[in-house]
Amino acid sequence: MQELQQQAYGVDILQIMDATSSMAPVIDVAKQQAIGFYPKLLAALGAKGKTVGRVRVGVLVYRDVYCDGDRAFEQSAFFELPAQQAEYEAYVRQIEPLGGGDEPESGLEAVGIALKAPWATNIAKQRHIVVLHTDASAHPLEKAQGARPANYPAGLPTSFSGLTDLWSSQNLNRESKRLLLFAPDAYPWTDIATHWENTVHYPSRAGEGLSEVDAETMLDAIVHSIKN
Amino acid sequence: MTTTTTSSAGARMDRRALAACSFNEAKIPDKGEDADPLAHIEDDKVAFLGVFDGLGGSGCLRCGGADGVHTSAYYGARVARASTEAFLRRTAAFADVTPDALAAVLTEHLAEDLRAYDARWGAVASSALRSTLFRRLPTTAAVAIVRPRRDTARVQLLWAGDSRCYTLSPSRGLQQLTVDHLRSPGDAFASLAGDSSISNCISADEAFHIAGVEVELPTPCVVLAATDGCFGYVLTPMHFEALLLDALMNTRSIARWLEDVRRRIAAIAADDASLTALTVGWSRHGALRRAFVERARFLNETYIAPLAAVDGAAARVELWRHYAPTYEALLPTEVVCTTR
Repeated sequence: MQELQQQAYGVDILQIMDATSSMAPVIDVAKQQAIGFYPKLLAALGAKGKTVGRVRVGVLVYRDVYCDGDRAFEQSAFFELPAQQAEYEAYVRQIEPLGGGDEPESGLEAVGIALKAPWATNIAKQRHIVVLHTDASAHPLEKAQGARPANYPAGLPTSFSGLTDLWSSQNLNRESKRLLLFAPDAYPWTDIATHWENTVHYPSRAGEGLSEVDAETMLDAIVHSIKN
Repeated sequence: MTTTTTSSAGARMDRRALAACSFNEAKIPDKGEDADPLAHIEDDKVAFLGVFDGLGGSGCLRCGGADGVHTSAYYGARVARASTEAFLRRTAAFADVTPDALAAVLTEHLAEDLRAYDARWGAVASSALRSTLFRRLPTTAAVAIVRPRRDTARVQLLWAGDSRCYTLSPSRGLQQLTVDHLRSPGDAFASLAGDSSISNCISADEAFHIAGVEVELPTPCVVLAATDGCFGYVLTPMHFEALLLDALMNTRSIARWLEDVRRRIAAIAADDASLTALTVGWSRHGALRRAFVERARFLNETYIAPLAAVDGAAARVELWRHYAPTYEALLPTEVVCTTR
């Protein structure tokens, strides 16, 4: 008897990494977190008997759009795993911490760019996971209403509430999306954790590891449907 | 684990014969977030059954308790089960209480017991994580109170979330009795492909409501309560009924029937699964099995075999549309809800 429902999951992960010079002491740890994330996720999905049909991972590097010119944002395509595992790891390992200027960086612009990435939407059971690694706060999006740099990304929300609306929109399915923040307890990350749905925030310095329990908890929050 | 309860009272009157059985299949041993089902036969006048499914996504923070540190969902389901059982044992004798009154009082009991448990144990395992996803002790509940009468059974249903109560009868097959509390509601067939979040679940820190309705079922029949791990991984709702009936046809006792159901579900489910069944009106398992022979044949010839021969999305949709009117005939259109 055909009893088995087709339940294969499609998983898209986008790793957003702050690659300003302040990240230099911890960038290698952040890189390892980024590389090691998806095997742990697959293991957690497998332990619950959830079949994964397709895994893609992309990388978005950001610095400071107000002083880092063309190096402010660097984005890869989505790598298909496991076939492109080597290319993915090579891309992550070549990330160079530099620039950054003052302490707030362009994390909110990076989130906006990430939400507009070419996410897969043709699979019924999906996970769209954005993972952000930073040690700094972020420039308000409203700052670009003043002197906007020539390299400022086009099409981004002009305010935090606009970015909030983008996260809440049907651009990414409510059931599928997750945002994981490895970020300090500072603007805007605390605000995002308080007000955005499907978000988990680990208030930390980037590179600081999760406890084993919190790592399991974070994976549970992703693996389980919101309903179970 | 499969547990069985049978009534000794009532055997003299066949229509009131009651037997209950249940199982709880944890996907990961010792970490299952479904509580052991409720299956209690008070006497030949009343029985109750229920299932409780801890929500692992929103209930993933760790929590303390008698079993050590587990997820909040793990304990949410168990606290809700204990609270509900205590409530039902006190109220079962009062046959005239309406479902809305039961729902209102049960809501208060659950809220109070969950808050008390959270206050006592919730901070045992602290976490640095912050999230709007997290809930304290979140769980579903689906409960049926069954009172056999001469040729019918009066069934009161209390629930929150997407665990379900059903009835299974020789003449009408499987019929769903409760409506899933989902943000993106759909019928039982659409829900198999979807991944909707729950719109109403029991928890210690958010408002919730227990829905309550009453239905009169012709007897003999089977009343079931099941978590979504049981019915969420089959190809169509017809296949869930076929799973139940195939197991029934091949077993010689209610305990072996549920054990076979458990085994079949464990082979396909990517989730914890728990189910409890109460047979009403059969004093012998052989009579129960024989009563469903024709239904099992009809189900196979009309739905299962055709899908096995020509499977595809269009065929499933067409046959579901044929099956649905009877399957959905007892779904409540008006539901009494009480918000905490």
